[in-house]
Amino acid sequence: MAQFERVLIAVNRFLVASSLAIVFLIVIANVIGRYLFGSSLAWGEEVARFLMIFGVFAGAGLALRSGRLVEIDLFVALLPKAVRLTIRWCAVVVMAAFMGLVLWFGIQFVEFGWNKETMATGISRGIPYLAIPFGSFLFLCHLVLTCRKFVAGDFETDTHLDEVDVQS
Amino acid sequence: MMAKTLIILFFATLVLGMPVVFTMGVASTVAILVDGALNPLLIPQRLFGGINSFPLMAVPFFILASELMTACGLTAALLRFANDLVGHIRGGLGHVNVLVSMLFAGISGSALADAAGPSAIVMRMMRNAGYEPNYAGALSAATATIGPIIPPSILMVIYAISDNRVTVAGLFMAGIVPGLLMGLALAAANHYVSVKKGYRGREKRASGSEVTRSALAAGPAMLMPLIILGGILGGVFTPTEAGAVATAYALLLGLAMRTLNGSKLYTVLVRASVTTSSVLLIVAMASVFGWLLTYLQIPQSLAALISGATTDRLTVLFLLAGFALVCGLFIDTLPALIILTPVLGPIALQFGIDPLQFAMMLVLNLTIGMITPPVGPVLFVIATVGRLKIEGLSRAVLPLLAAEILVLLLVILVPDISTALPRFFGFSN
Amino acid sequence: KELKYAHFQAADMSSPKHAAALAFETCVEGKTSGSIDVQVFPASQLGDGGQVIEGLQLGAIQMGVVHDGPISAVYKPFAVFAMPYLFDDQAMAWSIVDGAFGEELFDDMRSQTGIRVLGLADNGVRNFTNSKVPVAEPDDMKGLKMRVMTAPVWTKLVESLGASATPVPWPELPGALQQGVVDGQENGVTNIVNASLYQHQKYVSLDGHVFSWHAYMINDAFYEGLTDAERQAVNECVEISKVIHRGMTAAQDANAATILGEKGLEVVPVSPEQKAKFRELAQPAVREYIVGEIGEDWPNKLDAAVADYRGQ
Ligand code: NA
Ligand code: NA
Repeated sequence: MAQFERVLIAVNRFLVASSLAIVFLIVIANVIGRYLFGSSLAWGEEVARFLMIFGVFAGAGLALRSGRLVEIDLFVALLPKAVRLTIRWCAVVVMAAFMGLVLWFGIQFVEFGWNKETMATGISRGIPYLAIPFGSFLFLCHLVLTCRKFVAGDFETDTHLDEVDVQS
Repeated sequence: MMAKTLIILFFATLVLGMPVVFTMGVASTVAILVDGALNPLLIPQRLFGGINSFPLMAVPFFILASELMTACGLTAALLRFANDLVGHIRGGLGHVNVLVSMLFAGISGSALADAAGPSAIVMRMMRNAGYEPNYAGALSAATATIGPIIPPSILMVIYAISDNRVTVAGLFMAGIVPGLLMGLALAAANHYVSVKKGYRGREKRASGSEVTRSALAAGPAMLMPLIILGGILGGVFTPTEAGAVATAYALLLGLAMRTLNGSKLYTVLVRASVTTSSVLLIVAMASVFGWLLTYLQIPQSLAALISGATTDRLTVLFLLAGFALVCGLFIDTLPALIILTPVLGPIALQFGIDPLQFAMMLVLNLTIGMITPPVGPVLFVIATVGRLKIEGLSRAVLPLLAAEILVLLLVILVPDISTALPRFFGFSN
Repeated sequence: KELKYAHFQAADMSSPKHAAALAFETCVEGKTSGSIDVQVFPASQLGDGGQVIEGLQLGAIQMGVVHDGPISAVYKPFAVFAMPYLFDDQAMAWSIVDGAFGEELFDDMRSQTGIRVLGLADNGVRNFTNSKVPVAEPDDMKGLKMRVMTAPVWTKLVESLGASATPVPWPELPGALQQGVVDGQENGVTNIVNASLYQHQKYVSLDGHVFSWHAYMINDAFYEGLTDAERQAVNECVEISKVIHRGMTAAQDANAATILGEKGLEVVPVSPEQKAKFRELAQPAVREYIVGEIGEDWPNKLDAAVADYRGQ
């Protein structure tokens, strides 16, 4: 299980990082192209847009894992611990149910878009729509693996900035 | 029935500590399923459509650019420069906190980035120097809200998408003066508190050569806002492209200074994409929620209520500001912005309020909401990073909040604060 | 029955779409004594063109008035209207879309998409504007960076005339003109005025390359579910909306020179001879592209309809 989790995280990170990198390369290539060669890639804008959307949904699980999904626990914190933990478990169940529905409807939406075309590249619209079911599936995997930590509020913190000693 | 389900569920899940993204998604989904009249495929349709926008791509770019700046050590250079410049005045580190936030604001588009980054560092420095931990935290939180006022600004990019009467570039121009005023007001508040509590500056003033040296080291970072704004104003690129160019600039600097290597770059890319994801997921979910609100004609009836209450322009502006401020107390900044802009914008239009002034009013309002309990994301970040209690932090933030509200009042009373600079550069209607 | 009606222009009476929408609301509610409750959502409140079409197909929105671009993404043959320099004037264009050609196309679209087109009204006759040179003939277009809509057919059109094409989404267009990211753009008078596109432009060439359309579309299942009387009310009221919408847009197109002149643009007349030069360059290139996308059938039928009209 731990092995699976490590691979899942590594693959997921690679997916979001590389889509962001490609988005950056496309947009910067279009700026350079317009100035140096007087023309830009007609498909660039659309492909970059779809890749960004892919990264957003594919990154949802990682955002959950690192505690980036902001929540308001002010009122819950006032409650006794047992009640609080029950509420947190309910939240996990509700999130799972919701993302399960998004996965289900997302698949139907891909079917709905399959015979339509995108404006610039003319590919099937079902292809970019795949981002939603794919992202919610990844999210569900992460949720199952980390729900205990989520309930305990024990998130993987990011590495912080190096401390700077400016007094010296 | 549908409207009630939507709103009750939204607030219930919010209070029960559900991540804010899901409060909107869950409320919308249940409302659609319970009502049964609407096709539930609307949910993925709006989730996709809500972020299917080229201008929105500026968001990941500005996040990436500021992460790269920090990874290259340029954020630290900004900090040293600020300390050499103002560290010796009374309440010196407090002023450093203000100044470094203003400088960093020219790089980053978000208050959270500043709160988690430079502000958190200065907070630790202030505590080591004997400032009350709560005040150090409160000041760091308050100064972090300058980030989305001084361009570039993620909030303004998203605002421009919700209101097609303003452009991202025009909003960026409009934010400069209010952002500077915000910095001045916070510096004044810091001076006041420092006199009262006897906080001192550092013993020795930095020498001229020291200041020059740290200015040179921070120079490449301070050039960033000039590249972004100059590029946009000079017609070299659109705001989205400006984000990409800023990223390229930071990347080249890191490579030239040899402070960036492959593995660091990969870490930065992962962090930036996860941050982007958490921000834009809110936009996506808010677009489902906002669509339903519009569909149920809730904003339309609210607008009728406000515009029926008075005919005076200024009264309307105050009503709108008060309403937005209350919303900002309870709803997170980004969803509040996305939900309120299409609701309140038309009212402002109807009363002849300049769209740029109205935008500044709303953005300021909601950034102030970032440091007001109960729902203040920047306050949460600072509380987490500094291991502080929200209650103590909230009390310490009061004088700073007062200073920010003063700036808000000025923005409401004097339209020129927001509109003069954009007008000068030809960005008005 | 609730009829949610979405369009994209600002909620004031000088917008042809909005004036037509309000007339539709009053007319339908009057004729059906309120058995149909029309709710108008202006200014893209329910999403952009593509999203409203999806909303129509999902049954979340009952009626939408959408421009041609997003329609051809769902129903390709609609791209036939992008054929440049085809119609002589509005009377000809209206007669063809209201006649047998329109009927056949819309029937085909309904069977393929579940969306019924109730009628077309003008999105304006498209003209080129730019900030650099007065364009009187194709040669003047060389070296200009023109904004085009984000569909390849528009890139083809502009490139066939010798300019370079930069696809820019509509919401980014005012900014791109203001900042000089592109030199020019092409639109009808109504769009140029409503979106203040004239602000950073110097010249407008009245070449009238394409007659572009707004389609009045209704979810076909919803339409079939109406009573006979309700259907008749919807049909009759769309006719009224079309008259208002066409009238307002065509009046602006007819007075293009005066209106845009008052906005500070220098109006460059395009003579019939020069227009023929534009046609010779653009029509074959764009036609070849369109045929590659949708086959020869619809372009041929449209040509026949044009010939028919001229023959009458
Ligand atoms: Na900023
Ligand atoms: Na700060």
